[in-house]
Amino acid sequence: MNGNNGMNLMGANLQMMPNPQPMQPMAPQMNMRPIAQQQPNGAPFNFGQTNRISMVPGRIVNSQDEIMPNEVPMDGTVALFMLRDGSSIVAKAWNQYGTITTVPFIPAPQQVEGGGTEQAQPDTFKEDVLARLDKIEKYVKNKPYYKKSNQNQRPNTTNEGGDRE
Amino acid sequence: MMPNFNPMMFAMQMLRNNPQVSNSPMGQSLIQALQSGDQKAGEELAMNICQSYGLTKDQAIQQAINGFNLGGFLR
Repeated sequence: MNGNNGMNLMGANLQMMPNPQPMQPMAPQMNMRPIAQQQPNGAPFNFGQTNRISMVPGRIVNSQDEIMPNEVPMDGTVALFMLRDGSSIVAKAWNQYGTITTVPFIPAPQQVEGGGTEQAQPDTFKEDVLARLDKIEKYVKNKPYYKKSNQNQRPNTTNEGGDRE
Repeated sequence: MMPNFNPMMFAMQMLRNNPQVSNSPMGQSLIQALQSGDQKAGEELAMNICQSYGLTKDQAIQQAINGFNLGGFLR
C-alpha cells in the first residue's frame, strides 16, 4: 500500500504524519459500519469531510443462522437483516447485559372485505376508466346537438387559407 | 515521572472519552461495573458477551492475550 519513501497512494508522507488515534486493541469483531466511498456529487472521497451518507448496518441473508455477532455494531446501533425470501426482517442490537437482542419483523397479511387475505389484484383502473369513457361517448352520441354539430362541421383543409381548426 | 499516575483512572477516562463505549448500553454497563467495583456484574457481562460470540471463558482470555500481545508479559 505504501509508495516510495513512505508515501501512500494519497500523496501523504506517513513518516511525517503523527498517528492521531491511540492504539486500538485487536478485537475479534469486525467493524461492520459502512462508510461511503464516494460523495454524492461524484467527487472523490476526502478525509475530514463531515457530509457522510448515513447507512443502516445489515445485509440480506438466507437464514438467521447466517448472522454472526461480528456483524452487529457494538455501539448499540440496530442492525437490520432481511431474509432473502422476504418473510421477515430481523433487527439485532447489543443490549446492556452483553447479549444481542433479536426482534423479528414479520409482514402482516392484508385483510380484504368478505374475509380472506388480499391476493395480487390485476390493475383494473385503466379498464374501469375506459369503460366509463365508452359509456359517456354513447350517451353524447345519442344527443341531438351532437348529431347537428357533426352535420355542420367542415372538413379540415388548408385550401381556403384560413386557420386550421 | 508521574507519581500521581493511576492506571485505573487513566483506563476509566479512556473508556469514558471513547464514544463507542460511552454511548452504547453495554459500554455504560461496563463503566458502571468498573466504577462501582461490582465484580459479579462485570463477570456476568463478560460471560454474556462470550456466549454471544460462542466462546468459552478460556478461549476469550486467550484471544485477549493474543490481541494485546501479552503472551510474554503473562508468562
